[in-house]
Amino acid sequence: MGEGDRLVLEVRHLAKHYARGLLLRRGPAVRAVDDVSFAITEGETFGLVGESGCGKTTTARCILRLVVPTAGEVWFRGENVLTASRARLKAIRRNLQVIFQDPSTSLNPRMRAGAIVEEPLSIHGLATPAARRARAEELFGLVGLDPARIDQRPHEFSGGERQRIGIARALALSPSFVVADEPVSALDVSVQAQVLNLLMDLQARLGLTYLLIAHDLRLVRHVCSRVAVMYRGRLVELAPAAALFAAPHHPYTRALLSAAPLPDPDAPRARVVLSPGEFDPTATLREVAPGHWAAL
Amino acid sequence: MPSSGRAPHDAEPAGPDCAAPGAGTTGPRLAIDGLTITLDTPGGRAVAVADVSLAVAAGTTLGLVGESGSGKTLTALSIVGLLPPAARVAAGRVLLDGEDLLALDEPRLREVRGGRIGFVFQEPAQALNPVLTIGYQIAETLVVHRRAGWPAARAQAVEWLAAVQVPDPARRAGEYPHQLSGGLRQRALIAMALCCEPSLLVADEPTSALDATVQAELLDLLTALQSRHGLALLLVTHDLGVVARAADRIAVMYAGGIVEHGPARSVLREPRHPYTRGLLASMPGGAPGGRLPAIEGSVPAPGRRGPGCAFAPRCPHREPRCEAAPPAGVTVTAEHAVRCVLYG
Repeated sequence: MGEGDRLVLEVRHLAKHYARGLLLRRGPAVRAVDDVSFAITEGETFGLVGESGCGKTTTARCILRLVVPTAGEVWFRGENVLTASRARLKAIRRNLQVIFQDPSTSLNPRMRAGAIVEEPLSIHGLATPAARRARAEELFGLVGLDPARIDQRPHEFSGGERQRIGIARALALSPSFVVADEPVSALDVSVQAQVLNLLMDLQARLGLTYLLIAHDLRLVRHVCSRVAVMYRGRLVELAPAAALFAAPHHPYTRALLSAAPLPDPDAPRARVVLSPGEFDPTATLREVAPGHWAAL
Repeated sequence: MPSSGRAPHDAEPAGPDCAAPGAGTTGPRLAIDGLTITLDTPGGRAVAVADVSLAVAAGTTLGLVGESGSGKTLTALSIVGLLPPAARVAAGRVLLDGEDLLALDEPRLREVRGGRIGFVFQEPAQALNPVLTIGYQIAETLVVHRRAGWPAARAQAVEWLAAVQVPDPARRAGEYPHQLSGGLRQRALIAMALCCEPSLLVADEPTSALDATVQAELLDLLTALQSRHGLALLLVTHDLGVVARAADRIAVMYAGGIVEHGPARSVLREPRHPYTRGLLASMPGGAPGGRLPAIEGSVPAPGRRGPGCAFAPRCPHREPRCEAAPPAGVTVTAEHAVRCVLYG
């Protein structure tokens, strides 16, 4: 982050613990997210990567206040998201939208595509029905869908087109910040690039800031300005994307990078295997190079 | 259909479906010859797999690559006679060491399945019986297929768990599937698939449900076991990174047909078919931030494919003749073949 960059979102010491067991609550709590802090500046794409169960999606859900964290603060444009009143939260959420992973389960199959896209406007009581419809048509064009298909239902669209509908819906309220949780991983390989291009185009045209949650490191390297690596609920490394991929400091980051499947027959096959006890799991981030933090 | 008795790899000249090289006089371990599978859909019966031929030699790995709907999984399921009820084989042969598996009755097929052919599917949680210990399930396979006695089978089950690098195998053998992580469950399934020492292993997305670090470990393990036991491995996946890591040869499927087939290095380094080229070019990996050269359009559903090349509607090089009739296979090098008019 440079000096003049404007902070959009700041996460401070975020934690989400779940009690173990249904009734007796015995044993230590599961620390799904544990002391996570990071800040995202205007216009950047911030990547949060890690393997399943590492807490990246729980972190996103806490930021959106879809789950209530155990501890910590989330600040969005100077407002505390977690303590905001219902009215303020609604206002914050106009500006803070989300794109989900699987467009075949996140879109209501009974609704027409246009109604799905304009629903956020009606939820927020904005615009007349005619104006909402016009906005839906405009959004269709924006995401590369034919506005003539506005009255079709989700099943009449391909997977990639359905994700475009999900993106159009997320943009209906003209948010400035979008959380994209694995936005292409459920799509056919041959359409993933189309949707990634669309996300990059929209960022350039609308000045969006993204929090991108992903497990695909190639994708993250391509689109992110900075990347945070999460392991077992904690951040183990945070750095500009170029620095992270060129010189990973944390043993887990190195293991993760070496395991990424590359479509290259000459890619080095030596895997860096993470051995227990190789690092202190309770270490906190410290700056190992300018802007490059590692929990060592 | 070619008449029976002919080695499948010299059946048709110059198809992209050419058999593995070096199969010599003994023929490949697995040969699929002109396989066509139809699928009953709400819109009527559609061809889901069209005239697929491929071969896997002993001791080698063929990566069968395609995205969802390409027909790769139906092709794999047809080998072990496990097609879903809506699918049926309309034409073709599946030969294991020269014997046509499609002609076997169910009792004979059951002997082959789990015995001479091992298989590993994507979701280990669904492939294991939740109320039996994994040691019991592996031992049962040995009792059924190898007529092993239970005490010996149980001891061998522990040895196989050790062979797939399950830590503390004797204790793990007594555990139920839900007590194991996804990676350990998949190792248990691989142990079960290999314990009867099959000559062919069919692995359909064996690592796709797993994290990258576990996935790489398991692929390396599969490759090591494959070469140690001289197995023929058919590795079915959507992930070009997986085949780059594990396959000797690659067959690329698109919309029901094989469009390109050759040595892994050659297909990945010098892809010929516009689909393979487009797929590789569209993957992030170049200069960060730039537009990715995406393939336009989307995969056609079975039943919505025209008479010509299934990729033609999305192809930047399409010509009028592409949409009229399916292109013939063309051999571009001795071992690398492609189904595209660009090379005709």
